[in-house]
Amino acid sequence: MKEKEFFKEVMKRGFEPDLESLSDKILARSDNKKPEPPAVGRKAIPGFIAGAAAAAVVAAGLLIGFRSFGKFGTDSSGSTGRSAEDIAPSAVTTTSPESSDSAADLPGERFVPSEKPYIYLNGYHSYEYLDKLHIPLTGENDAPPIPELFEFVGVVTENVSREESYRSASKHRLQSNDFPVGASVFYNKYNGMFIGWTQQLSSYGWMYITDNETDFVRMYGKEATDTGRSVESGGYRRCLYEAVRLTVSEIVSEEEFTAVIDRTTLLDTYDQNIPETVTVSMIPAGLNGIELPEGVTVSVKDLSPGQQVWLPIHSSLPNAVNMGETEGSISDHIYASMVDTRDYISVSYEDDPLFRYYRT
Amino acid sequence: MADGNKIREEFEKIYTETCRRIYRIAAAGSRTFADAEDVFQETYLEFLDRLREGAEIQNPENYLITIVRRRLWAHNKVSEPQMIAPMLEFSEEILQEPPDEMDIEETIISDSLYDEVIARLRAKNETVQRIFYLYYRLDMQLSDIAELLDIPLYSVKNKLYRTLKELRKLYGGAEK
Repeated sequence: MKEKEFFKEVMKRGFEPDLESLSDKILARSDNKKPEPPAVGRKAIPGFIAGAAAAAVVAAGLLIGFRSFGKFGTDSSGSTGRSAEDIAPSAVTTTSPESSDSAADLPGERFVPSEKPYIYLNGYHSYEYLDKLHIPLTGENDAPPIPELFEFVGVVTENVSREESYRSASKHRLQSNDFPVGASVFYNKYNGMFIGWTQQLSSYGWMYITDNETDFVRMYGKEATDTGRSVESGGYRRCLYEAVRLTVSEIVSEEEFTAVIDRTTLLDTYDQNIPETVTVSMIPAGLNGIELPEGVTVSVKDLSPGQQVWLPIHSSLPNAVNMGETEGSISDHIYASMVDTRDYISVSYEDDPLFRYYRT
Repeated sequence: MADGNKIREEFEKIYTETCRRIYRIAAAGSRTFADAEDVFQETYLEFLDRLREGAEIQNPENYLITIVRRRLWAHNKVSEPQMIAPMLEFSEEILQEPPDEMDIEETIISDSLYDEVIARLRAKNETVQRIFYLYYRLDMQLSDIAELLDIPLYSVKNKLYRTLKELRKLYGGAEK
């Protein structure tokens, strides 16, 4: 027996659950589940979806199209009448620094949290955490590199000590050393998190930001060429958010549409694995399987052929391309094609401006 | 609400057809084996809920893939972030390629050998176990594993080869 076959069996025997018996267990668990209280209007959002709520915003916003983000909550969407302003966080507001001792003698204006509730942020307010970490931000403005996604907040002018950072981190899990002096800070309008970005990163060129309890975003800025290694040999090339832009070509049904991927910006490396057309399923809960917050509905009805939509992906997950390669084939489904298309929003610290945004 | 027995039958049929693929996705995306099983079960629980709600699901497998990916994302987000391993000094000896894959004599392969190898692997840390699982069970490339686990490729190789070298003593493989 080949060694590889042997270890495959070892793994199956020793490290995999008995999938057959799990079926019964799942059925039993489902039978024993307490009935959930009826939701008003739409299905209630389960608690575990904490992070997915943010994703929903991304998904929903991207689906409808950034330009038409205001369609959220309109009557035609069947929502509860919530306005777009209620959903998308307001513009960053700045004020004079007298409200904070720690920032009183610092240049620039001090950023203060907006009082506007960020209804999709699962209760966390990143503005607040930045405030607690005493990271004063200048009011200096800059053109948001990806205006649809990120909103420039300011540049970090001073940071707290590492110890302070960790004390804060233990409480809030937000590490201020993710925001080194000089870092530009951007606010992700769709998930309510802040990102810091600078060229003065570690050799890995990474940083991350976490929220209070549930959220976690990791961003990688290191391109493979910088490491001297190719992607295939383990070079790093990750992005905080990747989203593939699709052009709706046909409405198949109320739950599905086909879309064409614009491949003009795709890298040759991946091009061969990417189908030209994909079918995107619209499952009842919302786009891409992500449950939408109450009051927001998205359906294929919001789309029309020719319309461009963005489908977000999170690159820290194993990508379907890898899975497909494992099986010797690439699925033509969107999940197998969207990850490495390069027709995406890329966040990279190498470029000037700070973000790279592949536009077709 | 659809008929309970019919739903069970439908669920079991879909489960049988999809469970291996879905588990593989869960396993590849989870930080631990326990997480993988949690995500896997949660995925099918949610799917079952949808069936019981009377949802018409045209492509169950794609639907399940959607759910499992979302679950993984949510699950990984609530876990402690994995720090990227610091760049360590390493020796040429460690980085050398492993011996070619060897044949194991059928005569020595037994349940007890499996048990012994499993026990040895279980004594290793979770990272080593995951590397073995991803490499041997899911046929992933080492570079992909490195990326997935957020550790340098040399570290993946190091852990894999070193453990392999150790395990080979159990089944009598001659080191080249």
